[in-house]
Amino acid sequence: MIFSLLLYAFFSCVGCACLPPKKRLWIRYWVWVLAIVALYLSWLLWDMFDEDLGGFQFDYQSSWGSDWALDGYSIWFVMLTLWMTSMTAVMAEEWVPKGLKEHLVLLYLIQALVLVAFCTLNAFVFLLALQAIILPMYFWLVGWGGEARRDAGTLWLIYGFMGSLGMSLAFAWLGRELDSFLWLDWVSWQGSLQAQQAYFIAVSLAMMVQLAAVPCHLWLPSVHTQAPSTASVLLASVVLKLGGYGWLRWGLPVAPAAARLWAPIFVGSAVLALLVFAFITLVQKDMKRLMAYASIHHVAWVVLALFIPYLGGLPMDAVVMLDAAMVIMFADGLSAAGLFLSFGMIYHRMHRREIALYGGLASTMPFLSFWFVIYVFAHAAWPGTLNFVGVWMLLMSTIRVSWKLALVMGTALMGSAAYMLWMYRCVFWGPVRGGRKVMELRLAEMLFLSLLSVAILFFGFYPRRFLRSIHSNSLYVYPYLYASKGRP
Amino acid sequence: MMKYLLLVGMIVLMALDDPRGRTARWMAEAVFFCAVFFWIYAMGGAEPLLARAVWMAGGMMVLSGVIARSWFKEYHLMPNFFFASQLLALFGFGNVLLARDWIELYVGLELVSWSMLFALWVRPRDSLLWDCAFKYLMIHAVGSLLLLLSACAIVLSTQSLLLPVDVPSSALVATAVLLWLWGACIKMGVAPTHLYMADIYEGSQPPLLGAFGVMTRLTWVLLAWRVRPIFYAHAELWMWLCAMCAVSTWVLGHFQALAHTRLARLMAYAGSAQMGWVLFAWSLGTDHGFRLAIAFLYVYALAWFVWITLMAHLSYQHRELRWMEELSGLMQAPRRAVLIVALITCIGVMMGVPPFAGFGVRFAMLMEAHSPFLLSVGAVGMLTHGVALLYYSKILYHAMMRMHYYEVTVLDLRGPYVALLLSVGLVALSYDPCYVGGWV
Repeated sequence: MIFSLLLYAFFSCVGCACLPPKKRLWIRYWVWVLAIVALYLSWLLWDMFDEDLGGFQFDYQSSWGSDWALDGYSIWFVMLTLWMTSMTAVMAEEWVPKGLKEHLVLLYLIQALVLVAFCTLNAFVFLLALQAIILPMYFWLVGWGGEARRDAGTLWLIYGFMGSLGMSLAFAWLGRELDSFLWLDWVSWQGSLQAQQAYFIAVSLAMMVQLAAVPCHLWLPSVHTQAPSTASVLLASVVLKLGGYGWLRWGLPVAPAAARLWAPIFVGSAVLALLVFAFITLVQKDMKRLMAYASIHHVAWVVLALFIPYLGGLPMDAVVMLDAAMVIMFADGLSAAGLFLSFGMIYHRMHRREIALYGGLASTMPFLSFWFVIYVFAHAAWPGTLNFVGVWMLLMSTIRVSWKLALVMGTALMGSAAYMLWMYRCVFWGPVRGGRKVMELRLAEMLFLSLLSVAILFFGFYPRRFLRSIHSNSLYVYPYLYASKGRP
Repeated sequence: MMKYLLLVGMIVLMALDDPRGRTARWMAEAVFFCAVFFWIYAMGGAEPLLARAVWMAGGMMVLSGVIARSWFKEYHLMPNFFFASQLLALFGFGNVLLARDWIELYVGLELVSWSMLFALWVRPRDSLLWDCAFKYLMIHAVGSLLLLLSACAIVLSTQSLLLPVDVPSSALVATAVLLWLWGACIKMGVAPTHLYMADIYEGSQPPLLGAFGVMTRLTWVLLAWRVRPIFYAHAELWMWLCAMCAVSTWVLGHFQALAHTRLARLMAYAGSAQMGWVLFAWSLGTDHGFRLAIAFLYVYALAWFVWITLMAHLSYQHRELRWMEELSGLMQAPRRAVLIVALITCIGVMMGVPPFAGFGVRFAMLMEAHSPFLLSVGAVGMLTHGVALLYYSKILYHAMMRMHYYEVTVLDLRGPYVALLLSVGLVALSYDPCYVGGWV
């Protein structure tokens, strides 16, 4: 199964590179064929995956010794990647007037690298994939971005490489110590507390940059603002999630004692981010920048879900919080994709980003305004959406650790609602600006917006199907993350 | 004895008549390529590391020749002296590889250095040539003197002219280590003795730069492998010296490269900065470290040749490209896909970005670092590479994103295809980067 995935990733890239650049119709057919294959692959994955079995499935060992497998966490990320890439590729055909072929080659290359990162159990391959994404994203940014794209590209390069510098050193050192790069060997490492701390800090820095968690978030608003719409969708929905996944796979289970020691600091910074960034997001005048800060605000929930279990509570609470972290990441992937996809549709019709220049879009784009409100509610974690499920699980478990912390977190939810509803009101309601002509959506746009909304609502009302595989895996990884090895 | 046929080839080349005529040019090229291939054939079969060195050096000469023949044809110049100098360099390199005593080793090194000086005279290019040649002569002389003094110290210490197998620790050997490293820094263009490289690069023609940028460095890296018992005698001193040189090279090289937009000077300083990784590999003080230094140079050599091949075959207003902004027309050049792939690959390798081979070798060096001090030095190397990202990304930006004003023409489409083949090789090298040390 994994071999098929990797083969699909490889051929999608290579096939796109071989297409003649002037034949847009051929490119469009190729993109749709790949989208159908991606859908089929994700259905196969879901069908063949045993949800009640925690741990790794679809084990595959490549000829050069690297281990590949999927568990209850990575399978959802892989499916998210396949869906989002397909959607973005189809939309690229509408949004990219020049250099479509090159644009798509970069898109599929990033998809391939992300899939490799999610499927591999080899630390070196994960590092390789994580760093290899930086250059294609840079070309995407600088080739098709906005006016200040060069500065944004440089920022992306610097943050990306410097962020993962420590991780490269840590991986090189630990790989040498254990004479192995495999996950199972690394989680069995019984390192001293000092060694664990050094490793944990190095990896956490990289993951915080990747996730755009406070205080390593400064690159995201510039990159999102200048990036083309396709890049924003993929970045927000998939690429950023590599940070959370990397933490879950290569950070916490390898150095749990260090994670326990540093947990109060991470929780504190996440709570601060929850409280402060709601206000920072509220004052943004640029719609895309607002959504970028909203992503940063949302990431704080993930950090809290990963680190609060170290502060106390029952084992079952820790498992539920692990589930919550996964749910929040996946749900954010869907809702952020919806938000940026919608923005892309608006931007390519109106060609402006300033919120003040918008108004009354509900009358000129009624279909879009309907689906947009679902993404707004999802981001604000309203009941009925998948985001609510994750936030609710987290809050309920946090109450047993500290009711004061739960109270603060619950209050911060109001911040999300505030800026999201404010943006919606300014852009979609009020007097019409920019002409009264109705700009309805194309069939593909309607299809994607509907599918995303249906997914958010379906899993929001019926999360059981989604939670089964995640919960089984949380039970499996719980001993590794919260075990007592190296306890101070 | 077979290697002396190179000298015969050299004499034949010098004796050939005016190569502006077609027949004479073909004869010169035939003599050159036959001599090189014969040398590769004759020298191969030694231990794997040396056999690969033979392939690498021979391959570089062949590539230099390929670049040179179209370059000389375009500008109607004499290739004989250039080809003859390359054969002399190969002869000297062979001496270094197979030398059993210090005299043979020293003669080999001198021949490599003199061959480069010889090649500078192929095309008198204003006053730049004289400045360039004079600088090179002075630097070469100082470096050679330092190596000679170092060799004398070792010979006095071991009481033998043969290359050392086991060297006792003593003040004389410590002095020899210091002098050797100093000479290596000068010859390899490593900080703080690297400032002459920019002038040499600017004054040299692209075909010469192809070999010049790498041959001397490759020779010295292999020389270090051959005489490594000297450094093991004073392992800690060697580690500190190499580490300090590496750090200064990275810092000075990268920041100086950042300040330039003139391509030759930028790449000269960038090349010096890259040599910091060779010094870091040396500072590891193990056999594997020395092998990694050689592996790094192989990877760098290939990347360098891709760059030189591209630069030699691109022209702006009937002259070679000089400024970074002149790359701006690359996206409108014919066969731009080939050019872009080659450019991205060679810049990617020099940047040390995965999945290219440059990342794998550096990672292997970090894995070999066996102390916190060495890991910190490696961290400095990675950190200063952040500066490298800035100027390499500027090159890519100008080449690929700016589409107006400058018009770049491609002189000879065979050149870019050679570059593409090389870049495919580079990517292939990175297929199994964990074992790149063992590959050497």
